[in-house]
Amino acid sequence: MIRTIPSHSQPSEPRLTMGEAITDPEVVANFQLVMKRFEENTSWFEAHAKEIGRNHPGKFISVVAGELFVNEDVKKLYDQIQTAHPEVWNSAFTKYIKPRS
Amino acid sequence: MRFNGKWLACDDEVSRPVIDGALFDPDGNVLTFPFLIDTGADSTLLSFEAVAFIDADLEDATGPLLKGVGGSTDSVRLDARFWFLNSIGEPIPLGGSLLGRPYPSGDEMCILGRDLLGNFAIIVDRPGNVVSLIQGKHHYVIHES
Repeated sequence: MIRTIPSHSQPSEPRLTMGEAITDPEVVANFQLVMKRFEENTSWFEAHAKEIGRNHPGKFISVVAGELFVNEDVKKLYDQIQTAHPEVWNSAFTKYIKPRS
Repeated sequence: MRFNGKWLACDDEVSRPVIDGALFDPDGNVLTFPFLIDTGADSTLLSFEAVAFIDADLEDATGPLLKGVGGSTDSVRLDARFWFLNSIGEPIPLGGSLLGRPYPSGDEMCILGRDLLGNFAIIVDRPGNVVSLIQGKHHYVIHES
């Protein structure tokens, strides 16, 4: 549960809008491929989740093309995955690993 | 319309209901993230790593205080756009003003809150392994046997 505590000094509530479906066949095919790769990266993370949680608390991780990247700085992590996988980095599974309490 | 999600096995050995989405930065680059379906959250909220990807100017972007089970935390306001795939494989764009986390937190994940979920019937069925957001011509039926 997360409650938003309003403040009188702040502007109105955030607003999200949903648009019409994208139908351009090339755009659709490219996006479906990105999401398919993301599913594969997510599955890789799930298969190694316990180990990742144990070994990398307090750090950011990305999984791309079956490879794990770890960094304390998320922007440096993005630089890492873009350099290592320039064609498919946009389908990375990225997560902050909760520090051990 | 229907969005199909899944139960994501996380590093703390808990499975959570998520929908996969892709976030755009101002240059049109895209990066994928799981979005937690949180019916108790007032607002959709981007994780710190998603905010970092957008690389938004967060000066003067202070958002409301967010209060959860673990205590209170700050937020920032930003404009963002992202896409989800519907059940027939069409990208559906969403966008507008929303909130983000200005620093990492222990329960880090992008969150879909009631501002968006209020438009859908929501199925989060762990025994049946189903996660789905439904609206429009799609419906669900409950059978009792």
